[in-house]
Amino acid sequence: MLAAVCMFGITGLALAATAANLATSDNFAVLAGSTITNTGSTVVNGDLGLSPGSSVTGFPPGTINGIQYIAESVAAQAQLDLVTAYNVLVAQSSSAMIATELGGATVNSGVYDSADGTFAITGTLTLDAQNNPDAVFIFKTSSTLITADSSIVNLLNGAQACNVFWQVGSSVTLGTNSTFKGNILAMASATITTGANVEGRVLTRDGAVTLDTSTITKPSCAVAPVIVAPVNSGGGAPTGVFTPNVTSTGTSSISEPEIVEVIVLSEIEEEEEEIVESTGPTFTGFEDLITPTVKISTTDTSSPRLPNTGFDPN
Amino acid sequence: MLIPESKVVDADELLPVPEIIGEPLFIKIPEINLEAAIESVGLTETGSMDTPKLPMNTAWYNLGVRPGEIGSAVIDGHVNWKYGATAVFANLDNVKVGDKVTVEDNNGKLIDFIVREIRTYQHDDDASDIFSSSDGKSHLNIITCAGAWNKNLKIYSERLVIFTDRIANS
Repeated sequence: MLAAVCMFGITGLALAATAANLATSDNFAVLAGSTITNTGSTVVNGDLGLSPGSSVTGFPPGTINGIQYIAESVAAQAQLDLVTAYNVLVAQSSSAMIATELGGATVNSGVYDSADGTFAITGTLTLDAQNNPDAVFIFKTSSTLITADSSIVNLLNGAQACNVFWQVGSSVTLGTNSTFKGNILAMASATITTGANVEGRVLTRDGAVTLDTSTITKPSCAVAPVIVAPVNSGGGAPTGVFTPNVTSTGTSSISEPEIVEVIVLSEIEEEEEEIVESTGPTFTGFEDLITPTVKISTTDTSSPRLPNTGFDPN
Repeated sequence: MLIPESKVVDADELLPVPEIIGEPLFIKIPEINLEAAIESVGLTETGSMDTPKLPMNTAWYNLGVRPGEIGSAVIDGHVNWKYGATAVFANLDNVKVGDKVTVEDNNGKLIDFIVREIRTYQHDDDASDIFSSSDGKSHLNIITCAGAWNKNLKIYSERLVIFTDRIANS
């Protein structure tokens, strides 16, 4: 396997990659079809499921910080939802065909496959969300995904593991002491070798999941940001265009912006104390999360809101 | 002897001399020993009435009517200042119904009001009945903070509002 010695950027056509809805398989850090076998002090952060097989070994010494569902209905439903999600990924057209060897590459959001239907990582693969926390990365292989020992998947500029999907037509092997990000949805088996660290999910349809002193941590997606803008609570905010400060706690669902009542959180300046922060609905739907511009129109402009005529008495 | 002609003028030909009311400069509430200057303020960026820049000043809402004009004029002031210092309306809560309020405008005209009602509002309540009236009369409403300091929102939870009606000068 050639070691990549230079960085190259792949931008692709940027067709909108769409995250697969994992439904009930979302709760699982590990889900398999036939068996789950562990050696060593593996830690699974998330639920562990097996269906229709019934053999899970190695816990302890492995630890599951979650619930085990073995050969029962919750795991069975998760498997059905995994199949659905897997098929959604298969159905997405690729935005670009890229080299099998992903090591050394920087990839932006998109749907990627390779000429020979396999992917490999030797060295570091960088996933660059370009400051869009909703950026989705999908890698499709009709065959295998194999990562080398000590290989790294690196998330850059707001990329989130929850939005990375590896659709693997056969089996996955992650190298020893490797760092991996994303949701593996594999048709057959997944072998996570010694010391591998996965922020993501290992979900296999028909085959086994084998773990060895590894860590699998189910990723969480950051929640919608609180977009701040003047509130219209009957007092009537003036019509205008505001550029509020954004307190972002993560992704939003990008869609057609819709103006609703929101919260204002302004900075306390030396002399001013026009702080107004109250509870209200969270606004979702901005493309640009960095400095959104909010236009508030109000039908009630008849009277201002009550003034802020006091200071902290302490 | 010639008697000069006199002309009878119909009453409706007499145009009333409009009262000229200047911008408010000073406010006095003798019952609480208050005398203070009045700044002129508008709205903050967030759509609230703005407040005086100095702790011992009050502020008149200049997007509304002047005290003495028909409608509801509004004056606000701080109840306290930073680091526990006092401010102009620290004792506004001692005002009672029936107390007199006098505003002096920039022409030296004195305009008197009498307190009719005192109410407490939550900080985010609708304030339209403070800032507007449609009874064809002249009102002056005075606002300061009340209630408890909310550490999270960094504001007082309530507003004390004194409703006054203009009366003939006395």
